[in-house]
Parts: sequence; C-alpha cells; structure tokens
Amino acid sequence: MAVIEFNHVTKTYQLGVRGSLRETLMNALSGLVRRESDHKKLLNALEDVSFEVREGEVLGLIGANGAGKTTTLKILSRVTYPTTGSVSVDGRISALIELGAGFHPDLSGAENIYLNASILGLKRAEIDAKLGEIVAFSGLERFLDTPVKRYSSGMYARLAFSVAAHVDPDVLLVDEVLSVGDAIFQEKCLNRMKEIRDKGKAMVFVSHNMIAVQNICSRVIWLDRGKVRAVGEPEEVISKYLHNQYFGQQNIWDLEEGEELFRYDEGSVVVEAIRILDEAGESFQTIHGGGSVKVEVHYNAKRQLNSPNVQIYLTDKQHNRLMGSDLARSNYKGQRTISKGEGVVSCTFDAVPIRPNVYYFNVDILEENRLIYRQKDIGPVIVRPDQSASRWEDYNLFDVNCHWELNGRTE
Amino acid sequence: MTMLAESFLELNRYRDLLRTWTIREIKIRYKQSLLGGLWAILQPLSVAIIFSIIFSFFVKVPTDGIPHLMFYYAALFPWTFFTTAVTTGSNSLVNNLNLVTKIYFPREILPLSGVLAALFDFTIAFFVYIGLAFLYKVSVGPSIMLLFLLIMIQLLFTISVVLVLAALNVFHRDIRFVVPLGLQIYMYSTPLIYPVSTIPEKIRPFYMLNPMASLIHSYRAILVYGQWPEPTYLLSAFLISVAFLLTAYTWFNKAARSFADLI
Repeated sequence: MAVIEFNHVTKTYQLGVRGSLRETLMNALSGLVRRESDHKKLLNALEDVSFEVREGEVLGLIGANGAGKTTTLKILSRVTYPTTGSVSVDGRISALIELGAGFHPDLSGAENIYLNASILGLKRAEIDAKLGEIVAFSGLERFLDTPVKRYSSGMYARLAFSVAAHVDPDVLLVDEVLSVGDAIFQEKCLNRMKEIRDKGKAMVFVSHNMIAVQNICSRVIWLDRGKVRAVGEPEEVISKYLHNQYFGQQNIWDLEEGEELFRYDEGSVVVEAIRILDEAGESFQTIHGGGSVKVEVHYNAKRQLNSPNVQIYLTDKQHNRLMGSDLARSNYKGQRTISKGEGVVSCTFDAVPIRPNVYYFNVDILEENRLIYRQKDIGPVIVRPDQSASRWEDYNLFDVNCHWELNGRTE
Repeated sequence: MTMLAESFLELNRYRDLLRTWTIREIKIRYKQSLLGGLWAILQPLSVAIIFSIIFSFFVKVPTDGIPHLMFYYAALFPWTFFTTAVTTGSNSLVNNLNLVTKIYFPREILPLSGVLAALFDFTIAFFVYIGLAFLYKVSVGPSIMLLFLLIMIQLLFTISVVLVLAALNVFHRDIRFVVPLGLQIYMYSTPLIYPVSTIPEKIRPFYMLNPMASLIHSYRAILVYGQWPEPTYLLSAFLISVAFLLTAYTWFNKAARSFADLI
C-alpha cells in the first residue's frame, strides 16, 4: 500500500515577490492602469514530479543543489503546497529537517525536550512516557536543568538528535541532518534510521552522502533542476548521477591552454591527454574500492629530455596527498629516456585501498630533478562503495587486506 | 465552512503544542527580564498613576466621584492585555521564521500563544485590581460574574486582530512599524482617558460599535461602579467579534499556505 503519493507535482516560485507595503501599493495602483505580471520571474522548483513510497520502503532523493529535493520534502511535510498536482500522505509525518527546532537558549535541557518534541508533533503524554529514554540516549542526565545556552555545541546536537530519534512517525522525512556532527554521531543517526526502516515505516531521505544513501535506501530518485532524471536501484541511479555530476559525457581529459597547469620552461613537453583506465583497460568514471587503476599520460616532447622523471599521485578534494609513485625511484627496468616526439607513460596502481569518495590524480614531469610540467586535479576519480550494502570498512580511511589470527588456550 | 472546521480540528490535535509554546513564551519573557512578573503589573499601574495625576490635577476629567487611580486602572489593565497581545502576537510568525519555513504545525499556534501569554500577565494584573478595590472600598456587585464573559469576548476580538496582523506582517514587514502607531490612535478612540458619558448621545451608538469601547466601558461598570453592563453594548461587541474572528481565521488559513514561500 502506498503511504506517500506524489502525483504530477509542479511547484512554481515567484522570484522577487512582494516586499514592502509601498511596493504592493504601487503595484496595486499600476495594476489599475495596466494588467501587471509581465515583470514577474517564475521558477519551477519542481516540474511534473510523480512517485510513491510504500510501507517499509526508503526512498532516496539525490541531485545537485537546487534540484528540488528540499522543496519535495517541504511539500510532503506540508510546510508549502504544490502549485499544481496532488500529494497524499497516510499517517503521521515527522520531518527531521532541522535539529533542535524551537530550542531556546534560556530554557533548560528538559524544557527544550518538551518544546522540540511538541513541535515535532508529539503529544504531552507521549513525551512524558519517552522522557527517560530520550534523556538516557542523550547521556545528558546531569545537565537537564542547565539552560541550553551553557551547553557545548556537541551537547546541543546530542540533545536535539535524541529528541528527533524518539519521534515514532509513520512517515519519516530526513534532510541533510547527517551532515552535522562527527562520524560517531552520523553513524548513530544512520543506525536509528535503519531501525525505523526495519519497523516497516516509510521514509524519504535527502542526502549528498552517497554512501549513506546506498546503505539505507531501497530506491533512489535523481532530481535534476526540478525534474526526475532517473529512478531505480540505488547503485544504478547513484552511478548515473555521479557520472553526470563529475564527468558530463567525457572521460578523457584533453588538456588545452587555459587549464590549471604549470609549465616551468618554454613548453619542452606538452601533455595532450590523460586517461584513467580500469582493470579491463576501459576508460571509467567510477570504480569499486580495491580495484586497480591505470593512469596513462600522453605527452608530446618538443626536444629530448635529460634524465627525465614522472610522478603521479592521488589527492582528495582537500588536496591531501594520499598515495603516489615516482618513475625514477620505482622498480621499473625499461627505457628511461624521453626523446623528441609523442609517447605514453603510464603507471598502474594495484588494488587501491581507499574508501569510497572522490579523488583526483596529479601529474608532475621533471627534468634533472627540476619541475618542468605539472597538471593538477585530474579527474575526479570516484570510488564507489562495495555492492554489498553497508560495509563496515566503508567508514575507514583505508581499505587494506588483512589477515587475522585468534589463538586462545582453553583451561 | 468545512475548511474552518478542519482547521479547528487540526488546532485541537496540536493543543499540546499550543500549551507548551505558551509556557515557553511566558518563561522566556520572565527569564530575560530583571523584574519578571512585576512588568505585568508595572505597565498598567504606572500609566494609571500618571493618568490620575494629569487628569485630576492639571486637566479635570469627570469620573463620577470615583477615585482617579481606580477609574484608570480598571480600564488600563484590560487595555494592556490587548496591547501586549497585539504587540507580541503580530511579530510571532516573523520572529520564528526558521520554524515556519521548515516544520509543519498549525501556524495560528504562534499568534495564539502570544495572546495566551498576555492573558497570563492579565491575570497577575488582576490581583492588583483586587488590592486597589479593597483600598478604595469599591462595592462590587453580583455583576462581577460577567467578568468571564468580558474576558472571553475580548479574547475573541484580540485573537482576530492578532491573526490578521501576524499574517500581514509576513507579507509586509512594514506592519511592525504600523502596529505601535495604530495602537496609539486606537487608544484615543477607546474610552480609557475619558468616560463614555462625555461622548455626545447622537454619536454614541456608532462609537460603541468598536468592541474595545464596549468592553472597556463594561469593565468599568463591573469593576468600579458595581453595576450591570449594558446588554446591547455587550451583545454587539460579541457579535462583531465572532464575525471578525470567523473572517480572520478563514483568511489566515488561506494566507498561511504561502507563508513558507514568501518568507
């Protein structure tokens, strides 16, 4: 049975609407003279979007900023209403869109629990019954009578989440709440959501955290500028989305003038393309953690390079160097010269032990230990979570093959 | 009409939130101020004292032999209830934008809480009236039983005003500045400073169409003179307030659908 039905919903916003009383009066006056509305800009936040969510189903909404994810949640939670189309939701909705809604700094922890929980739709008797559980979950027993303004931000978040986690809705809407807080907190959130899912409640989950989406959702919708771009299995839709977001349609970086690159001499070497290949030698956009990656650098040397060297290394989005290799210091035994003309130098990284995320390759070319060419931020390379949902290892920085032993003596 | 009934049902479902939010409003106000509950008394009392001084020594306003302080306080403490409710209630939605744009609950809860929190102040201020009544040996009659009726009519009227202003404030922030000015003008068209007897008989029926005029006049009748209030005035105040409330609530509900989009 469908708990949520979203039928051909379109939501149109007027940009730059009514401001001051003066403007409205002026508009009303000019409206008497001529029919207005010619200068109003309209924006379709959602355009003919339809979907349904059944009991026990978790629907993930993904998409770039401004794709309409939050608007969808707002319509579902009745904060705003569709311009055309209809929405029906069966049962009590609870929206974890903002943690600690209604919290007031001057009130005590206990008072704020009551406030926040009633805003989330709980009756007073329900809060009374759950208070002990909420307090225990937060671990803030000793600070219940302290005004929230004296709380650390961590304590504040814990209290807020503890309330949110104990709302027992039929339909749960979760926005990017998970992006706040540390890793432990995020995992607590995810576990709580899984519990609610396993109780057979319907859920709609909006997130930019693809690991979380893949772990928890049974179906995913990719929204793109207000329209449904793809619906289906999480794995499939997420891949499509990530491809599109980072690559467009291309997977070879043709390097042209104007890109961010450093030449430290008069263009004695030009890199014309860099290809990133998977185990099968195919250009790829995303790989699974643990797969191997081959980086091919297609160069064109204008003259012969004396004792050349090539360095290829991987960085994350924050430009932290994670791993890399240096041709001169490697165990490579073949040709070591780069003569005038075109050529390809490549390096294969076996079993890349990194967690799912977005990474970039960087290429440096040196001559006699002097940097003569640098290309930064090639990619991105997307490492996808493993197919088996919810791998514990996905939360680690590295994914390394390990060998365990357990020896014990029975006495 | 069915829409109105649905709104009432929905509000009833959320009555716990109304209660919690009202308590929040009261607690915050009292925790943030040094004098706390004293403000509820000080405001009407200080104005009543100033009025008594001005209008007994400098300008002679007839009070039919009633001590000036009694005459003014009995009108000013219900009036303060009205102005406090309107001032806090009309800003209630705009002051809680983050909630209105993110979470669903019946929007009227915020303005209603403003009115109910003011009702709490009114109750405190009522005790000062009791003290003054003993001091000046005011003889209160059986008409005091109608006090609840007066408060109820005033609630209906105040809620209507607050609903309209709170919603308009979302659409046009200028309302913030219009409200204090409007309240000042409204004060002079209500028999606070002068008794109704000073209004010419010809105009009086129109003058009394203002529910606050009827109410203030009736408060004085009950609390100062120990008389029965005039039933025609009360009835008209009641009918006007009910009609106003139904219209205001219907309009508010329609307007509320677009709050999150406009803010």
